[in-house]
Amino acid sequence: MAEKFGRNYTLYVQMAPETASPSFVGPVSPSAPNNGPFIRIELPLSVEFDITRKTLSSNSTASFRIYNLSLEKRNAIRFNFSNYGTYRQVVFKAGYGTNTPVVFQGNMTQAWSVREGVNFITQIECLDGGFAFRNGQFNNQFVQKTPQLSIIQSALSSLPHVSPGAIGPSMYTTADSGIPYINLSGASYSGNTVTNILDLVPKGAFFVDREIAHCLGENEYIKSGNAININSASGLLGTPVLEETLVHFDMIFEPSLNIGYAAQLTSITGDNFNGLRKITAVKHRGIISDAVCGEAITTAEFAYFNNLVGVSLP
Amino acid sequence: MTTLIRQGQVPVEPSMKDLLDLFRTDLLQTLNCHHVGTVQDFNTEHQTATATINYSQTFFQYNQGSQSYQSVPVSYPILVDCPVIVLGGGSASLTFPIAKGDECLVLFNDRDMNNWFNGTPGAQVATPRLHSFSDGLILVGLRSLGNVLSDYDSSRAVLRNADAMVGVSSSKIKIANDTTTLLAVINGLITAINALVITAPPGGGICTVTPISPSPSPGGLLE
Repeated sequence: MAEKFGRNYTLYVQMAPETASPSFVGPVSPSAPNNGPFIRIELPLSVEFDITRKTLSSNSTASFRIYNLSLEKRNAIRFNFSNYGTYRQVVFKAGYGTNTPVVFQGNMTQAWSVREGVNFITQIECLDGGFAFRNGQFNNQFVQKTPQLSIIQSALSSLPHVSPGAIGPSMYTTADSGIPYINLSGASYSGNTVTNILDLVPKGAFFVDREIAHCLGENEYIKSGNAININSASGLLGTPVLEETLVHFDMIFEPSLNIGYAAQLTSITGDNFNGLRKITAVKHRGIISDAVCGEAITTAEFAYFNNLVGVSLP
Repeated sequence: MTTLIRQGQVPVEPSMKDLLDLFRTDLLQTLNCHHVGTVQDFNTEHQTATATINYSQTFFQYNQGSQSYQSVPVSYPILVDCPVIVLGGGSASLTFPIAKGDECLVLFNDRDMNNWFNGTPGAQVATPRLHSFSDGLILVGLRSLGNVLSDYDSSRAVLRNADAMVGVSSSKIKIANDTTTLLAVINGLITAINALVITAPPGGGICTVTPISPSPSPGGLLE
């Protein structure tokens, strides 16, 4: 049985070089540039979070409310909405005890602090891959006979501060024969990278999660280790609900649930949905605090497909 | 009792019209419809061309030093294997010696035309791309002010190549180069024929050649 006691978190927020301070730490992930230090926020400071990650072509989002940061850190975090050309990474690791996987990784879009009653609240709004969506440019040409897979990989590689991830076979093979598609003529691409990627892969296949860009078909999932178990022992709440072709369920905050990956669902009250499922959306919201009690819930969603195909990360 | 006035609100929220205006601009900026380009290479076997776009894109990048956004020109990618529109119909065609440096109009097809171009008409499109740079069609003949034709003939339909030309007006045809016209050549030939004198063999009289009557008048056809 998974332990779900002792919520814990670490929130890393990248700062501009001019706001560097000895209390700040260095980069925390390979995709972060070395031009800015990080503020590390952790317990006993309280944090409220609302994170939505989804396998849609729009950005995943995160919103954090941190209680009572120091004035120095509040000023260092402040970020204008119009600074879309500046990349400031935010990494949120959360979980239980020492098990705190990355729950969100993206860039800040706006941050400010206000006083609410006796507390100073610092609010940080983030997008996963938002900087890449806004600033990625793909200007390239390919000679004839270039495999479609190479073009997709090249486009994903041109996303700034986002790494290429899994690309499902259905993205680059012909539907009827399954043969890798080769561009018979030369091809050229110009403009916003995401716009071009959406022209390269089928609708709904491209998404960015934790600053990794994936292209997966409806029944393709990222194969990585053992699928996480979702059952009453791991915190499943209530009965999974089917709406159209999507099934959603609640569980006690589960930081290891990742979109695009498979999960093994075992519900006692909704056993017709049981099986290996590809998680298509995850919403975490709650509070982690040493001072006050509060809920932390994960709502997840999967498409009701069978015959999943596993795709390895590069 | 005083009315509570809410504080800390954003004074002016963008309206739906502001959003739609921005959306419209973004849509038109990212839509490839036509571009003006220059031919860099022409493949006579496939009648395809490689072309470059004659202007650059403008991106805005944040400059940490000046704390402001600055425009940065970025070249468009090279357009490769673009089918060239060759005028024609049935078994007839009108071809031109397309060469590097020719200005052209690049038209972007709505859908992926790869399967059609490679001989599979009626097939599904190979990729979901729309108005893509990979689906350019080239029409040669567009001219900027620096490359305009000199002595543009506004009264005839003219086929010309450097100094040679064939012009068709409503009732006559003009064939000429920079030194003469076909009409002048034929008129000179007729004059020479009319002045032709043939001397009879010894012992005989003078053989007179009668001019063609009526004299041919190529001026009725040629100019």
